[in-house]
Amino acid sequence: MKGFEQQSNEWLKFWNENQKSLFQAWSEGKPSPFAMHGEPPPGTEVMSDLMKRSMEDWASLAKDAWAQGGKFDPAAMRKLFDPAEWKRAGSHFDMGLEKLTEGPTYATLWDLDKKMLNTQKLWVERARDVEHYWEVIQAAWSRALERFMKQLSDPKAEPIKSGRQMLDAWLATANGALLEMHRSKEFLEAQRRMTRSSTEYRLAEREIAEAFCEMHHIPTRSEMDEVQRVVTELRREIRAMKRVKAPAAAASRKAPAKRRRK
Amino acid sequence: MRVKVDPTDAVKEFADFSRRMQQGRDLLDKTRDEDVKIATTPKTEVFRQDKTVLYRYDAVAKKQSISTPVLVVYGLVGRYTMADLQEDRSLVRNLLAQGVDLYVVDWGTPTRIDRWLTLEDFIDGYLGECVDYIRREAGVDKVSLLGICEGGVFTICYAARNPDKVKSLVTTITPVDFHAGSKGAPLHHGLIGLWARSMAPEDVDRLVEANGNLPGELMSFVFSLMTPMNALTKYNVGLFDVMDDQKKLLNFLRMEKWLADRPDHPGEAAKQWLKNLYQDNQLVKGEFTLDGEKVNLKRITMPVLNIFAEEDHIVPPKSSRALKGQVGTKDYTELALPGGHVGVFVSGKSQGILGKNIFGWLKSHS
Repeated sequence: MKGFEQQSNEWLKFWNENQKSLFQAWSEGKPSPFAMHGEPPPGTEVMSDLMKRSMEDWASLAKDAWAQGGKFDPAAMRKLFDPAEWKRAGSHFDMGLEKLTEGPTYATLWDLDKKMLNTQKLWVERARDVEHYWEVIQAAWSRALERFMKQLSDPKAEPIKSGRQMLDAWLATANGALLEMHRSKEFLEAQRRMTRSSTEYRLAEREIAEAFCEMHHIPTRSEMDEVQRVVTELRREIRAMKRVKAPAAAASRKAPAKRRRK
Repeated sequence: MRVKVDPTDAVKEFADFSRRMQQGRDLLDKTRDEDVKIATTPKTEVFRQDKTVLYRYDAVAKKQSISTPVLVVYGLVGRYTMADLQEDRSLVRNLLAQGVDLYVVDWGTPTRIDRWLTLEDFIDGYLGECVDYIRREAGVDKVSLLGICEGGVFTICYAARNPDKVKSLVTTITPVDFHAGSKGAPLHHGLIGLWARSMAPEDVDRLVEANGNLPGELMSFVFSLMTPMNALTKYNVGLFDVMDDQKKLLNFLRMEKWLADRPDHPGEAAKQWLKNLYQDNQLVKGEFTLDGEKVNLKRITMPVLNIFAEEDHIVPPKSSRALKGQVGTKDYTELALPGGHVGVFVSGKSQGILGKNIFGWLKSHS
């Protein structure tokens, strides 16, 4: 019997090879190697076009990296490999990914691929929301610092005579600025979006994990949740039945003597 | 420039800082885990259902002063151990010393399997079973309930649904009007409500779907938003301020121990807590339903003592005080205590006042 690790490795190898063939097939406008024989299904051309454009975008960025007379441009290269660049709104990759995940669905065909792409898209959204959240927080810290510097240069204010007084003044100023920010609509919305996109990403990740579980005869999170739901409902019913039974049993017994502590 | 530090004072301050650091390090070196144990009042497990455990505290006084047993009910956001933080800061010990027959319900540590538990399961189910157990074992028709925070809401709902089983009701730092109290209040007041309402109902659903429960870490994070600099500096500035005083240092560490022990809130119950109560404010509107039945607060006909903290930033006083206009009893007493949400239970200042007043009121209504 094959070990779990070996099985997982084989699965990953299988997945990688098929992924490679699939992208290759898309870029050449051919049907997926997973797909049936015969004519490519409707929509294949659209997918192929999107894939082509995505690859062209990448190629154009790569070209930019050596744009200056064949010289290597470190800034452009950084842009090419910087994940932060990929997550910028409306970037080349972002748009390509969006279109790919919103492409047509054919029963279970490319199901796992779609899930993977969707997870990638949600990761990008999550990263973007986390970045925005930190931008809002950073702005509050800047405001706090600005206020503190103003306070320090106020000639009418009480003089600060020790390091501790200075620290306390900074803590009070920063606390006020952060609290104002925490109550602001901008922060609450940024936090809500970050929580939501992190949640959606986690759920999408779960879908992929569940596909892996199904492939390896392992119960999925959703199945376990379902079992736990049934157990909770059964327990609830048992408690309710016991409650109905208890007064009847108590009535048939003699009332207990009042117990007191000595 | 405001900064006018005298060089001699600066040297003195630095010397003082170094001395305090050294003393603090020595004290921390000597401190062991048993020195910071919390909830040490002896108690005995008397009933258990699923993860819920009912404890009866061992009697301390020679004589029981009030015939009706009292059941302490904490919520699911945090643990009941706050009522028994340490020997000299323990509501539990104060009440036991007065001869109260005291019980406490411990909801255990919810895990993913508990995600489907609803507020009905906790209020009608587990709490109901605990009350029935005490009634049966103590041979009494009614028990007194002492609810804390979310546990206060549980006791309010239970009392409204089972007035024939509740002798008297004590609520402490309990939200009733979930939308009240942040207008005109200090900036850090009522932030929990603001956070809960900033989410759409489906955000809450998805959060629970992804995590199973409402993660305790998330709630700790939301609490820390209310006192941001304190949360950021408590292990340097805060700790430094108390580290050369053993008593204060141990207090600090025990409090941290309680804060760090924040269990996950069961998912379905969290949805009801956040959506029905925090977002829709259904309890005070008379729209909150349990098991398909509206919770009618007018059915609270037993005597009520409602205690709130004047500086409570988590449950603003106005939110707690809304109970007054909702209950059906005329025997309603309010007690304002100095301090914040947790401070009412753990500060040295309010210790004597809290236990003494609760006991006095229970005794006068026994």
